[in-house]
Amino acid sequence: MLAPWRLGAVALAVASTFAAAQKPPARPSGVGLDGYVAKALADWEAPGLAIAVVRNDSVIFAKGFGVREIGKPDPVTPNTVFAIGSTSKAFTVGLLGMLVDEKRIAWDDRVTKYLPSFELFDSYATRDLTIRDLLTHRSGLPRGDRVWSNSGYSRAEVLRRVRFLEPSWPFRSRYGYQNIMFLAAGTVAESVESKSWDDLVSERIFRPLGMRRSVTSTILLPSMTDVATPHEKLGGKTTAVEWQNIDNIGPAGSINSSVTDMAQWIRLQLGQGTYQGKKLLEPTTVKEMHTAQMHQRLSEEDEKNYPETHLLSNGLGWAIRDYRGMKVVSHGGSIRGMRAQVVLVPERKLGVVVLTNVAESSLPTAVGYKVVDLYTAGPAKDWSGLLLASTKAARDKAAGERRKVEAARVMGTKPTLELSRYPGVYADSMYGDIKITAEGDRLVATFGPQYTGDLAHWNYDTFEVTWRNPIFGKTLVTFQLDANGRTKSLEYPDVATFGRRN
Amino acid sequence: MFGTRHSALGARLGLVVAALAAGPLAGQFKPASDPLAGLDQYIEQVRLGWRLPGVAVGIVRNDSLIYARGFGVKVLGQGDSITPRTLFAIGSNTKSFTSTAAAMMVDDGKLTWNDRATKWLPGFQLYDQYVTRELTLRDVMSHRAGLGRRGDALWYGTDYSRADILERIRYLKPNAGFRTEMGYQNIMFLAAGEIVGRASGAGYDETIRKRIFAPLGMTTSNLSPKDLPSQGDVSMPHSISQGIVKRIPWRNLDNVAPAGSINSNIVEMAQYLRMHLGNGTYQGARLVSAANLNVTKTPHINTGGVGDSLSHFAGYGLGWVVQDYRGRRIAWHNGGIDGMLSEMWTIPEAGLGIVVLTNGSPHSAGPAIVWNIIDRFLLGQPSKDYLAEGLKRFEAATAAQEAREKQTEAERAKDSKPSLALGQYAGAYVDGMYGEITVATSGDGLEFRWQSSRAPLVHWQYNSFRAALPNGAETFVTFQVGRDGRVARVDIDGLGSFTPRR
Repeated sequence: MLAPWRLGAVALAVASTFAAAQKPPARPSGVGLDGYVAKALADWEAPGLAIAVVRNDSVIFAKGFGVREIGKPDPVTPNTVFAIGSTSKAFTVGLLGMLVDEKRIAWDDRVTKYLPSFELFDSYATRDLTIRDLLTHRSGLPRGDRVWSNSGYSRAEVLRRVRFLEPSWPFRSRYGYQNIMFLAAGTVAESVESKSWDDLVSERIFRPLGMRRSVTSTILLPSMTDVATPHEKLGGKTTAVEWQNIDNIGPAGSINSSVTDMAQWIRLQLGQGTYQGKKLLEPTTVKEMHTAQMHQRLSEEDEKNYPETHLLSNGLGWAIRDYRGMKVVSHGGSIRGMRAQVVLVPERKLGVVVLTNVAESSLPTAVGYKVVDLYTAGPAKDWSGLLLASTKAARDKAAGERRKVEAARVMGTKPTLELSRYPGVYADSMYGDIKITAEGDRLVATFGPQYTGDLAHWNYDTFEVTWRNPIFGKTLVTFQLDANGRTKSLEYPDVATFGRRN
Repeated sequence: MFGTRHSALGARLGLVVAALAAGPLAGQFKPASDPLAGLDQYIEQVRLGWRLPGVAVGIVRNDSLIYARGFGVKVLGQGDSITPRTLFAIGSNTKSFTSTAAAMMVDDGKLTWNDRATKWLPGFQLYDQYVTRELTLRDVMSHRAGLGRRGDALWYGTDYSRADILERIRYLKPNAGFRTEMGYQNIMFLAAGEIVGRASGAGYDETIRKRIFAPLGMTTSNLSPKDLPSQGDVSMPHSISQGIVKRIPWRNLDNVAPAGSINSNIVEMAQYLRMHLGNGTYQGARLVSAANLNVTKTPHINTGGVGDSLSHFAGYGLGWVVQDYRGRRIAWHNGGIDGMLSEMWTIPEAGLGIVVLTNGSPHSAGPAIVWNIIDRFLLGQPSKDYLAEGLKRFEAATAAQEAREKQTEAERAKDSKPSLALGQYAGAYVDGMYGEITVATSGDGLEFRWQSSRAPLVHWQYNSFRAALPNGAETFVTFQVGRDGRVARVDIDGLGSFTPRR
């Protein structure tokens, strides 16, 4: 099933065989890379891709491949604007780092010092939560992304509602990717500076780095030229879709940028906070961001695909891993119709950014690591082929799961009640209301401003909702009845059980 | 202060975080014709460099004990040579025996890694109620309870039993947020051992003997100096201070056994490492599942601070430190108790295990030997002079310590007098954690009494006295005089504040 609301860190683990320590050969820029990327683009059926490579503080390679929108001629250029998704998180961390340098905050300050009414489900976590906790995915909370994705709620409302999100794991006991905590982090900066996160990022990061084609919201895109269109695989076909506005989770992932601009950001990171001789961040602060702080277990698949990465951890807004004896600092980005990857190898003064306009793909990861191998004398590993096979296997597995659900469907059953008795408002403190109404002889679900779908009977009191916007796919929902023969709740898998309100 | 004087250095069950050797990459990884060539001479040089009476070194390679040699003597001034069968205290290397036994209990379905401590120890409490409720088996074995490296005075040389210690630790106030950082905690390992003992039903000591010692043929290894053979192949502990080597008594650790009480030799420890390198199998027999054994070597908390180009990560697993080194994963630990320091290292990808046991402290002979051996197997030859580097670092630390002591002495108001007549300081003072201490008049002066220990209180300045405790550690005792002219409180550095028993 599509999960377009996922602002995802692609858990990219990486590896290859252990290589002898050698001096990296000085490769002429782009040698071997053009052909590799062009083929990878075709193999992944991706419309477009842009890449920039930074080495020794210079952009040594920057190029666009393919088109901005499928079926149209406009080419991707190094200046084409894409969504960078969760690679935005490092910008929020950068902003906070500046406040740390100015001694206006400390990484280990409690969050409630700056956001006095901020609350989590657990009172101990509320009391003890620090800025560092917000940035290291250790709050113990599940993702809860539906509270912001296409929900219509404001940033303040998302932050208020997160208190109803029950922890999945004990506080700080393990890694669990969490976007809303980054929203809280951005809001801490807002409260210290009395300015919006968007203005702060623009003024304190974009401007000094000359990132003129970088913005923190989709609302500015219509006035810009050379902008990529997102694409989703719908019915197996790569299809152009609308940009998703994610302003209400901005500090976790709403930046849009080009590889030319992102290369400047990479220069700042590799320059330990100094860009063109100007110090924006203290080296110790950048080091803190690039330091392993919260360990993550490698998935079985990662261990299989990448046997030479031994340790994976979170820094602040970055994932940190060892890779053929080097430290790699990276992050992925994933938002509707777009994927991004930023990979830094600080000890080799090497960085790469890859932006694409297709979802559900590890293409940017594959290209990113191909670049790392090329410039660090790595083995000739076919990253694209390996990850494509892995992605295809995952797709087959998902299709198999879907078939299993189909096969398990009990035919010939009827809803317990007459259809007219299902309509009502089903509510959840965190996610809001789902309204069930009758349109003619059909039931219709409305969930927030964007999700409207038609219910078709599946079996017993379970219905399949086909969302009218095909990006949202289909969902099986189940009604529960009380002893009086009234519906009492509506179960929306992986989101919540919504209680009937009227 | 406890543990700051030379005499007390290394006298605690200690994990010395090894500073990793940086330095230039030593070129190609060439297979050595004989990686052991010249090793005997080097070890002897290290032994003499540190004035160490004796050292024993064992190397396991590809499931064989390929090197097992003793150097020097068991007791200074006596001719009895160290042999591969000479027994030493392994100190905190015991911790991985505790976690290995826990893994066996998880295999048996008697424990789960996420079991709460209070499930097994219903009366167990920590200072913070939330932590008491949440604390799991993983937490007690990964030094992330938030208590820091404190509370050792509760067990070190005291008459308290294991049960007493576990009951009293509830008074130790946290010095870090729960699960935020590593704080080496011996008493939490004691709790872990008690949990293991209860889960197995046989008690901790018997579980270790039956499940680990017996199947590995560790027939002379034991858990207490009381079980050392009086006429057998046993070395004696020695203190090394300002060039003077002195034989000292064995330290009894029965009341904190799961954190550090095992005594063993290199041949038997090599069998233990073979089992670990064999992912839980020994001579074809499976003792523990690979999956659960691997949990003990999965980082549970970041330990920070490696940060050079050869090693990027270090985390604490359960009873093991895990780090990368030149693109490989290393799991290691060390141990330190009065007059005995030890090392235990595994590099699974190289099929390499190293154990170093010594009968002196303090010194850095262990790391000097271990890193030299690791380089021999990974690089073909040592990449640097680890002995010289360790000696230099130790000299600098010693000089810094002496400077601090001089400074303290210089700042002392020598001519100041106590506010009260000496007899007015006498009395019994209590603390929830450490119990009752007594200050008594003795001859012309005062005496500090705690359990069976007696030490003179020597006037330092104002109302502060210095107490030289029998175990060699020194501390400051400061009396706070109340408005009524009576002692209102006694602050003992390293212990806490004691109030008069009235």
